[in-house]
Amino acid sequence: MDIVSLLSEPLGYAFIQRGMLALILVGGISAVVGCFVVVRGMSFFGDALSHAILPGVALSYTASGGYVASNLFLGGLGAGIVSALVIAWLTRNQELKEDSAIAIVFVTMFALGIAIVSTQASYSADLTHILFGSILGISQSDLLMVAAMGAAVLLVILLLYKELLIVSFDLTLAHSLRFPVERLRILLLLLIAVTIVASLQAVGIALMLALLITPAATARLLVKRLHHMIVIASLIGIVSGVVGFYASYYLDIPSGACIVLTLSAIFGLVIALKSGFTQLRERGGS
Amino acid sequence: MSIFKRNSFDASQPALLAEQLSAGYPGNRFALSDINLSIGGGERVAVIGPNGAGKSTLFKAIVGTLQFTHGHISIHGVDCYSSHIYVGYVPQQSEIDWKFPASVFDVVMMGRSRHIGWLRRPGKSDRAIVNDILDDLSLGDLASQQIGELSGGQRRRVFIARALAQDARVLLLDEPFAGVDQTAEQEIIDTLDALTNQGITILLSTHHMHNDALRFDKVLILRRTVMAYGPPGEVLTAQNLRDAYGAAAPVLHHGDARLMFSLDHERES
Repeated sequence: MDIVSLLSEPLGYAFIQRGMLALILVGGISAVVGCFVVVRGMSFFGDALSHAILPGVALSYTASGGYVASNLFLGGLGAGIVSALVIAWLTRNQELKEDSAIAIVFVTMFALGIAIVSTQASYSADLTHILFGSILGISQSDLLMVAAMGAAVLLVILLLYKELLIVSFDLTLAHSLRFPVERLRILLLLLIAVTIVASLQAVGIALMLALLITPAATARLLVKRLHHMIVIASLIGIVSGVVGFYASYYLDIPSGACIVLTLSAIFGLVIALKSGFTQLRERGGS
Repeated sequence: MSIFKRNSFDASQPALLAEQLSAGYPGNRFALSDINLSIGGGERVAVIGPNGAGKSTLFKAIVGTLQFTHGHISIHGVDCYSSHIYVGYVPQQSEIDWKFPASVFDVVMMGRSRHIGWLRRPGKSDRAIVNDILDDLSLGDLASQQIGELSGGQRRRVFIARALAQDARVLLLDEPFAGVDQTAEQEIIDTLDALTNQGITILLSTHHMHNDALRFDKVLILRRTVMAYGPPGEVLTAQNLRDAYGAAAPVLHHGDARLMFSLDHERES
């Protein structure tokens, strides 16, 4: 079989095309939002939030009789927004350390989600879908939902880029410029929540963090400015979406695992090349 | 632009006026109490005092990071709640993430943000302003460097440049001389001289003072409240320094009224 047919064969089915489009969208958008997560050192928040949406997803799942449907987004988004707001409220002053607040909300929500899912007879199969994603089950309306959420997130970031940059870099300047700092902080938490929910079906809860962190961290190694980092990260996210998709199709491995392993491979390659290059330069310079 | 026009400041008013100001954090609600202070336009004031005296707290209250519990601050006669934008702030080295992916140009451009306005991108004129400021402060060649690649003195000057891009009328520098060498210190002082020539009011907190190197119009000795405030010759007396730092204050007589002291061991990390 030649390379063209290897690449085109899976695309013969509409549901597979949808799956691939979803992975590309999700890979790109998560990477953009992930840049803010990385520069602000919020990985723990990202991980926590992706787990905290479980009860919302579980409720939608249970309500629709154990079927993965569009209302997953609704339930997930609800739980994500509630969790983000509770965390924002708990950490509004320094009385409770941020990581403690995040951890408490995270485990509470996750445990609640497990409790809800366990009421279902198909408990373990359901949980597997939610934790690891099921990209080929994505419907036309799901895909539109992902695209709409992604577009909304990108639009907000585009419009408020310079304010988000300042809030991420130097809160004191943000205060002195009279920015609504608290609202911008909550907005960023909500953007992360929406991104996680949009990516839910593609990669699942357990591996969500990689989509946010790995492309951004990889891009950070390559460039010096945030907007460059965002461009490179989204390219890495998209490429990983495509590569992960084919790997998933031919190796029959869940798409979430494939996309994450692809991301990690790119990260490893960049780290290795960079340290190799640094060594070479040092040797040349001495 | 509109904000600056609307609040166009009154040069006849004190550049900075604090009245009965108290501020603090949860756990230390009165890190500052009953501060009364008036600083004239274009004056240069050194803020000194032992560790934990509230120097950073005072700056944070002026710049608007910290809600104060009592009293008020005005900048050129405009209440602080609408006029923080006139205040530029050069933070302590440790408060900034120097690995952040931002170039020197990016950081200085941040100062333009309020002039550019919401939902808009920097235009040609903003770029020209930023480039001019970078050239004025001899940072032009460094514009595309990532901020972490700079020396200590250059880092301070980037933040001074940002305050200029912001059109700040009052500049606060928190420990600008901590951890920089003699050359960098001189660079920073030269930059401050240029700002003074533009009529910008400067407040600078420091742990050590060399009267020969730094010329200040006034010195403020702070220890939770204003212990002494006035021209250096009047304020830097052995008695005042002992009151602020305790009996062990390393006060050295130098000439008649001149006093030099160095408290390097108390420097914040």
